[in-house]
Amino acid sequence: MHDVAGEPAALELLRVQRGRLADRMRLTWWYQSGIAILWAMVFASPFSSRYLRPVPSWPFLVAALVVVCLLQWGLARATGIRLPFRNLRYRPGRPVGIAALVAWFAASETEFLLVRHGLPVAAIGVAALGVAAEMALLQAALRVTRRELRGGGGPA
Amino acid sequence: MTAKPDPLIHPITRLSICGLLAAGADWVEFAALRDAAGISDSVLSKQSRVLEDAGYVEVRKGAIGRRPRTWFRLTAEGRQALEGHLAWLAQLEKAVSASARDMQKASTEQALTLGIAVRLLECHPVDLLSPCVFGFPPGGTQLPVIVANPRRRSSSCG
Repeated sequence: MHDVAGEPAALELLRVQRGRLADRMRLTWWYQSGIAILWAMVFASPFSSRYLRPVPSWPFLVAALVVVCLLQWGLARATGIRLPFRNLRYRPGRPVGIAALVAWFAASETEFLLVRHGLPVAAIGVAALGVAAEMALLQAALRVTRRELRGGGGPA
Repeated sequence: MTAKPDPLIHPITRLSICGLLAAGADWVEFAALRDAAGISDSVLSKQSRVLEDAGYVEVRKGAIGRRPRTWFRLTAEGRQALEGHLAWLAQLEKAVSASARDMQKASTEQALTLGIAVRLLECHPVDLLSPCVFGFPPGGTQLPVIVANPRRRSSSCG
């Protein structure tokens, strides 16, 4: 026979436990630093294309991918939670993903424009703003992940 | 998805394990699952083995250096069973809260009726022993019908 009075309490307990799991999901300092460095490299590309000798970009892309994979692996080890890969089809994270793309595009284009008009200091300022915006969006993505972990996939 | 109880997930520890694995993570590590569920290592090992044998949980074991690491993931079968069980629990929760609300409403109505009766008796003292003065109408309403005796009206009730 089922304990009818205890079962709603079981659902409440599950909510508390999911809250505990969500609280474990924190971005470590080295993860944030690594992502910030990667974004800084992305926003440095308008300068390198203007002031440095043209070099093939694919080694940098491969290196960046390896670094991202290592950072994700390290974060999963540190938190004990491995999240699935998500693209823009993942509905809760879509606004943050679109915002990150828009911020990247807007900052890069503005930088190109400023560098072409001989305003490198302003372009550096825009690059710094771009990195800050991307890091703020990373925190927003973390909040989405935490909300999902807290809410869970089921009715509880 | 049909809302039905699953006897394998029904024990609270296994429900916690499956519920945490279904929260949105792909894989959850042993220590994270143990801490979130608030259970001991041995309980988690034992219950996860039961779930693994039933095909509800996938277990991956590895080691980093000399430190063993165990990761858990809910299988599609486990997810389906959990969703049915959680839907059944949610239905039960709704039913329990509805019955609690009904009970509360009934007790409030009773208290209100009693309060009205007491107030009326204070204002209009009646002979309680006389059935024609104080009684319940045959319609079944809970409010008693009180017919006051105007000759014994209290002066304090305005």
